Amino acid sequence: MSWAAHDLEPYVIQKHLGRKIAFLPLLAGSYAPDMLTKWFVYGIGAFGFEIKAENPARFHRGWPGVGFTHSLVFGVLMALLIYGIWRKPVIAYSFLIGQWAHALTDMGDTVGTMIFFPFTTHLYSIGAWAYAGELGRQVDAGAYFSGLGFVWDGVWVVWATLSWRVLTAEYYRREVVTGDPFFGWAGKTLSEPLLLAIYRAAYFYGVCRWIAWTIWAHFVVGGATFKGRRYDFKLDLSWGGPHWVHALHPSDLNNSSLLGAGGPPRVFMYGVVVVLVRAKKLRQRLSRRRE
Amino acid sequence: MRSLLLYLAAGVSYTVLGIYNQNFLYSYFEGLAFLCGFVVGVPWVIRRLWR
Repeated sequence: MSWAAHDLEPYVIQKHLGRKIAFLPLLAGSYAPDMLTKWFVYGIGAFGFEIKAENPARFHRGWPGVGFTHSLVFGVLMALLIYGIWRKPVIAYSFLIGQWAHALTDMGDTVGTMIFFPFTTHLYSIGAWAYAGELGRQVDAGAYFSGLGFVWDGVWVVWATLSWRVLTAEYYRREVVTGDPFFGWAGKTLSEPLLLAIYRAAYFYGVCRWIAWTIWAHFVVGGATFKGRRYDFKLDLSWGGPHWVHALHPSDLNNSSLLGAGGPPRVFMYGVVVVLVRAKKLRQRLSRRRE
Repeated sequence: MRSLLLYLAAGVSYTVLGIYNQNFLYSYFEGLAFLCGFVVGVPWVIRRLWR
């Protein structure tokens, strides 16, 4: 997983694609795979009760679980759904680009993503930094900001900062409002300073978060405890590190690499049917327009 | 320039707040609300009180 890259990638993409892309759907796509799942990975407690996934890593990235949200096909299906609702291709493909960026970025850790789901449940991983989501948010943060994940996010902090022109009010008026239907529509009722703050918020959040977690992990607490065990946040920039934490690997999640008979192929077939129906309707509409 | 300084002040405040209590760093929506409050809400309140 990445802690700041998903916030900052959209600005770099925006810089390269300009008004050909809609920023807000791009950002939504970049957040989408984790949006409804991350809280269940770390767990949430209230009034003495805690709700948490039994196997957080499998739930987040594996199958059975919601690991399919990190696949390319999920992005395509969501983009088709979005196109079906708003009928604007720019919203659909902007979301798709954001979601694909997220799924590809998360391949960097030791667990990886089921990028080609539903064709295979194999987890594709580069293994550069340790996946430690099952150890709770604080130890996970400490591990992430002690390994190459910290460097990876740093690359995005620098890259997005070098793309600072996309954050200016002049660029926002010229490119973002033109490219993104939301900002054009919202500009009729909301003030420009508020819309600019909304547009800049992910950059603000990503950079502040990266700095805050790093300072917290290495200069404030230096370690955290999970289930009675103490983890010291020592910087370890070796491949697959930090090695003071037990990193999960694809073999810890999915037993089978290829889909067998049963549920998953059925889900895939439903997906195929949806895609075919959408494609047929799109073709009909285009031919009607030509007439 | 005034706008940049306001954003910088918001960034420093949010980072310090996040270090003090990491609950503020958990979600993008918290960052969004903080930034909008800091760079739009606070100046609006000050302008209202100034009048």
